[in-house]
Amino acid sequence: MNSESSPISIEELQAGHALADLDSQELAAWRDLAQSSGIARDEQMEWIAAQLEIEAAWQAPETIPGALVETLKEKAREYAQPPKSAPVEKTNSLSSSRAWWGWAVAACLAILLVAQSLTKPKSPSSRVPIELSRTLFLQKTPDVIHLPFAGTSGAYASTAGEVQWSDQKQQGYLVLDNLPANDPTREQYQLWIVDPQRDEIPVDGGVFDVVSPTAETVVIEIHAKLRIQRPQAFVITVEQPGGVVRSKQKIVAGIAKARP
Amino acid sequence: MPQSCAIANEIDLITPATASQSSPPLLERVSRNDLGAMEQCIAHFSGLVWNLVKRRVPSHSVAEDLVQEIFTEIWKSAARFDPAQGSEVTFVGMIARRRVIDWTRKQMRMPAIEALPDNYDEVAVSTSATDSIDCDSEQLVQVVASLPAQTQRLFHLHFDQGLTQHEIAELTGMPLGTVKSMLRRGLIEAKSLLQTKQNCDNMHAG
Repeated sequence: MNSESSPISIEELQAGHALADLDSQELAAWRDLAQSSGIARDEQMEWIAAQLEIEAAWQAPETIPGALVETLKEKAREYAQPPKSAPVEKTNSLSSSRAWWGWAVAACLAILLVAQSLTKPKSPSSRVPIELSRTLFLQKTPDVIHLPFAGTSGAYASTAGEVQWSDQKQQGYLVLDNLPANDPTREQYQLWIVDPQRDEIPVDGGVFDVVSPTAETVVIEIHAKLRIQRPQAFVITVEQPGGVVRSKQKIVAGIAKARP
Repeated sequence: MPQSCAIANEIDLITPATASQSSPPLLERVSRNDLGAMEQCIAHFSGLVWNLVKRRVPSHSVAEDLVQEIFTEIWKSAARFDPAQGSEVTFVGMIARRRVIDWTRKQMRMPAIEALPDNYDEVAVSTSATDSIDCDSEQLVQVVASLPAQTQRLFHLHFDQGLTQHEIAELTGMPLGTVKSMLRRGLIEAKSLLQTKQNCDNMHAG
């Protein structure tokens, strides 16, 4: 980008950066500009935007969840009084071997628990919270859209279900049937939300696993990492454990499209 | 540090507002790991931090994680707070706002280029014009009041009401691109007016 030929667009980029409203292409352009021209963010504009936002937020603070306040207080206690390092004791071979056996037993138990959680279908009671929250969500949210989900082909040909999403609450769920179980150590499902109004790049909707038998209905809560404006499609891909920043869409398990 | 905007140090010159002015300042006590002060800090600023986070982060669980990170950063950075340079509200707000914006930018998918480094925001030197403006919140209020009525309205909806650009577009019936452009142009104009005002004030003072 040439800073001399288009000073207005540079200013607008800087303003967008200060407002934090640059889309991915604009942010890339801003980054190129910063690297090529030696111009960093416009601190004056950032100051103006920050002052206006902070002042408004300060005048109308939101009620923070009580549980989060308790967590913060707990963290404060830990921070104020960091755990003292344990005094170094001389250990004889017997106590050290006892300690070793203790760790070994604990490790075996942990492996057993993980293995059980991966192989054993979840009991109905373990699904109560998400089912309950989904039911409340459907009852109390007037703007929920329901989009039918369809599997693609192969192992996903019989996958079906729907997306339930609220723009207003930025909350939603996937209700899926016949989505094959995955091995979380090798791959995970990742949800993408296509929202062209926001950006041409899909928004990460979170990774999830299906550990239940494939015939069982699974309910997955959507965790949109960015604010969704007008979703046009929801896509499930299969990715490496932990998910990816940008999907190559090598394996697409299912798609739900908004009605035109 | 220059007498002007000190955003690089997350401290600036906003009017102290309602922050406690008792001595020693809250953040000074926080910097000494005073648990009581840290709990006061949570009670005093958690609503502000939560508001700033929820404006940009829709996911409740992510927002909660960010709030925890922000308070940890506040405690770590408290020693850098200088009451002569700005209020505690601004100090805390700057840390929170910057952390949230950094998080949202990291979530953005960068097409066909390498991922952004963590410090990408600091890649180059500051604009040299930064030092030419004193950041005074009273002046900023006057400047915003002198902007065109439509820009003021958009500023009110965006900054005061915390509406996204999309929400503003829906509310006002304006195209999204127009909302975006007008907010940006408004910010550019506010900066220009602030500079002009500062120059005039300097001339009168001189």
